[in-house]
Amino acid sequence: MTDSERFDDAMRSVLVLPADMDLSGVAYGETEMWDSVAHMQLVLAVEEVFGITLDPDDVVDMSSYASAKRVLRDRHGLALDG
Amino acid sequence: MTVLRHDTSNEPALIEGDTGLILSHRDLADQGRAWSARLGRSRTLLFLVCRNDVFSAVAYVGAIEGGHVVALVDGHASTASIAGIVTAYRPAWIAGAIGLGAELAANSVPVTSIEVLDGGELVETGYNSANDLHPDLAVLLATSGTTGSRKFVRLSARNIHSNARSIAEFLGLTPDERAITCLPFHYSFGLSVVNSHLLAGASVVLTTASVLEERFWRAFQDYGCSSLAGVPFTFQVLERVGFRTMDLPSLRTLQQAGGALDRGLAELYTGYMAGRGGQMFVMYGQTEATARIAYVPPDRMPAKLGSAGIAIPGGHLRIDADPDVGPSEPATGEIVYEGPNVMMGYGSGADDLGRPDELHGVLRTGDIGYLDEDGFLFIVGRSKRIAKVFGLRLNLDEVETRLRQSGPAAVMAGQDAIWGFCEFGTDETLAAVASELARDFRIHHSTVRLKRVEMLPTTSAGKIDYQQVERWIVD
Repeated sequence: MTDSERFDDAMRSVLVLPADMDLSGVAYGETEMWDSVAHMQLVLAVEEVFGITLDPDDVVDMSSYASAKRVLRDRHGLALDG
Repeated sequence: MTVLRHDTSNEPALIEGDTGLILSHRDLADQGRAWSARLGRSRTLLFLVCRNDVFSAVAYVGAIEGGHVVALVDGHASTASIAGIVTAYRPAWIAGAIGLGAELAANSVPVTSIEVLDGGELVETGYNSANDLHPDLAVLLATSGTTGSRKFVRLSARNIHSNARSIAEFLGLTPDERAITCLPFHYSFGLSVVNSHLLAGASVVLTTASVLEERFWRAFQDYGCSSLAGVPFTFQVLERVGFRTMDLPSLRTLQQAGGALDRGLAELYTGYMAGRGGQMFVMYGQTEATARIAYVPPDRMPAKLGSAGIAIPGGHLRIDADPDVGPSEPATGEIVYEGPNVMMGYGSGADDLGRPDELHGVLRTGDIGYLDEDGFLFIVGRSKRIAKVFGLRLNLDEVETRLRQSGPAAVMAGQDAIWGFCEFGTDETLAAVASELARDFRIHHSTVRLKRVEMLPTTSAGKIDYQQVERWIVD
């Protein structure tokens, strides 16, 4: 599995999103399941899947699918597209 | 006056973080009177579908100061569940976000008119609730985080006022204090922050943002907030977002309640606040006591770490010792609280709103604990049928009733999850049921664990034997 696929999997699993759903518009506070509890679960899932530690700025900045990918790519060197 | 005592003050009372709108105590009193007048001269019931905004706060204050009865409902609840509660309570008025009236009408609520106001709308229904409201009744609060639950706590104006006054007293609130809402307004703890600050002539910043969002901290800094109140989960999040390294010069006080805070976090935050010359209040309460029951005076920390504290001013704590539930030294048993903030009783529909005070100031909390030699309360067990999952109160009987729609089942609480043991289903179908349950009760799906079992154990009386069921929980 690529980093992108692993990230998408983590996202779908934490937010209980169907496998065929387009993730590009998914965002904290807007997507129904993405509340503060889910956000903390997502943070823990990403840390576990990629073996990284997210710092406070990362936790706050991962507020949408797109921005989370940007944080993981630019600050943690993961091979994420988009 | 229930919560407004400084109605001639031109100092801020409410600040809306998202829009920058500021209302002084005088403005709030004036706008509150206008709100009350909209509801008519005779006492009536207003259902307020709330968000953390000025519209909701003014409607609430206006209704209670005008002598009406106001029920607070979670603004994030689905229209169908709000319509269900409305049908049970038959309020003459409903207030909420723009569009609410049309949605309720589509869900069989008899909407007769909709008035669009600044920031929300006021909906008139065909119900007439004026005649059956007890004269002391002022506020209805949901008993659990469960949306759609019809069980509400009945509170009098005296309950609200006395608890707000006690809280303002032990926190030492002055007009200089400014809290920011990071808890929902319809939740007793969140409401108590608003009530106590207004009563003290202080101010509250209302924001729909959470501590995970940059705009929450921008509002905190821009408006010079002095305090923050959170449940245990809030503190877990604060730690992850680097709260202790943030530049927040105006911060003076932290308040924590809504379940036991992890000892490590309690120690860390107590020490952090003391180190910067501030205070951290660890507290205990129940919606059945309006909000607050006990608090730990910060100068008794860290010696009293792990304690729920002493009774709030005007209240009294005692233990109904019971050798079946704990040791006799120190005497352990059910925690009983007495005070002017103890609710009138529960209600589950319109017929209950005429009922008088049924508790007479005595609340059996259902929690188990003991008092140490200095009179500090230590809680050793929470009532088994009320669970706290990430600080949200869940009535396990309600979860069980919902689960039983699919077949025989028993529900209990584990450390960080709700466990349901079902005499039906497969791994796959139970996963789907768990998702639905999580959605209905607004909890995260990972906190619902459903397991297939052959047969549920029963007691000799034929009831579910929860002591046996508990052994199946694997934390």
